[in-house]
Amino acid sequence: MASEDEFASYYTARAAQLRSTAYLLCGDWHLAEDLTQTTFTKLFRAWSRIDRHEVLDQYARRVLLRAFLDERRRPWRRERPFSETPEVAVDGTDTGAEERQVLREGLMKVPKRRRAVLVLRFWADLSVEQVAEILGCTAGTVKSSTSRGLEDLRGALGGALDDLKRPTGGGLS
Amino acid sequence: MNDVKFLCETLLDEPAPPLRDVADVLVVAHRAKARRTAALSAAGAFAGVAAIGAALLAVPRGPAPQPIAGGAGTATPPASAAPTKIPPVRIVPSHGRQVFDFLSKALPSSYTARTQYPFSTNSTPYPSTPGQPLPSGAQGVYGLTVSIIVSDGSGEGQIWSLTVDDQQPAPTGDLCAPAVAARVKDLPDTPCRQTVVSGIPIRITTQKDDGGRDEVTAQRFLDGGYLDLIARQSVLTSGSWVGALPPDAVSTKLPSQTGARPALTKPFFTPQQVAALVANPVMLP
Repeated sequence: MASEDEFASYYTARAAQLRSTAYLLCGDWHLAEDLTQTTFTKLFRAWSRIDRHEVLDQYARRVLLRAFLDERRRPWRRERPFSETPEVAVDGTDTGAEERQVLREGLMKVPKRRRAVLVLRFWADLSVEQVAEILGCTAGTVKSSTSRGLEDLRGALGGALDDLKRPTGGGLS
Repeated sequence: MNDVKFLCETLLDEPAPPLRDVADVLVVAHRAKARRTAALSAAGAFAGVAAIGAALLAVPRGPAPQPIAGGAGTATPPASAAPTKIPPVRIVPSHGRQVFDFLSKALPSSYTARTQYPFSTNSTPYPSTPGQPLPSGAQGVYGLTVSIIVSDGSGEGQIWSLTVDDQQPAPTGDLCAPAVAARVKDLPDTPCRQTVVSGIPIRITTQKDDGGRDEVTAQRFLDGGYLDLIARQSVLTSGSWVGALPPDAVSTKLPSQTGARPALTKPFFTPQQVAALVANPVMLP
């Protein structure tokens, strides 16, 4: 997997998904873009040493998560993410913007490691063991973080999600 | 648990900015790799000199190890990824109103904006022709396009759009290199990083104001100068600066030149947003 073309192909195939994960973690499209760039920059550096395709996605997620956790420790990053970004076109027919704002603020209130556990487990559909490997902790820690993260989210959202959820959706349990 | 997935899907159900082009990603990756290689080489060279120095204490000191290369020589992007044509620096005072409208609309809804100074009606560009020499003895010509007072109802911050004509070419390597920092007169140890917005390299620095609050500057380099966009949580009240403004910029009708209101308690733009704004074509006349 030494060629730049393969790297470009991997970016084309996976960057959007990784950026979505980053957005769910940080709530800001610009920061998500930066985190994705950081991830692929590190991936590029290690590209010639990667020879197992099946672990690439997991490796990329681990780099992304560490970039996210590291990024937020920098003092000059301690700003509150805004939902509005100058480059995103405003769609007058988009009636869900206000609801998304409420949900986003709720998710951002969950502490970042617990938020990461929720996003990886329930959005990225990773197993407890995979999440533990990414975050460098035990499976037990992932389970307890899941439980506490769901409690945090429930507390942050109140009934907001119940008001929006699909008829088939389950509760925050 | 289904609800968490639903929540995530709902959050992503909105128009996202276009994904960065793979060519841009590769430019940044190549630069980072080159910087890392240069840093490791320099660190290795320094370690070697230190070891030899310990063994040759009686020998007069030889040449000191060279500092890490500044970046221009080590981090030049590949020719295939060269940016599109860089526009020439131009200062058009009457462009301030358009910039004000654009920046005001980009603010989060909880903030209001007003111009600090009356808009100029002067549409004469400076320099009148690209490459025009600077006035005798001048290092650069600064043009304040717009100064916006940003308020959340209880505090005030500030946005500046500033164009500098210094008749120097746009840097082609690492925008955080010492030579670039010296050119734009950064304070020592100013945190710097660079990003790419729509294929345009942008330099982002963060300084602290008198109250320890972040002051973010995003710079877009032009042919012969650069465009600064500065977002501050407080309003600069330096008497010397106000006194240095041109006569038509000092207005007694506008109350905020004294900065009587407290600073904002949080930033109104993220650094990434400031970078995205300065890269927007609307910012150029």
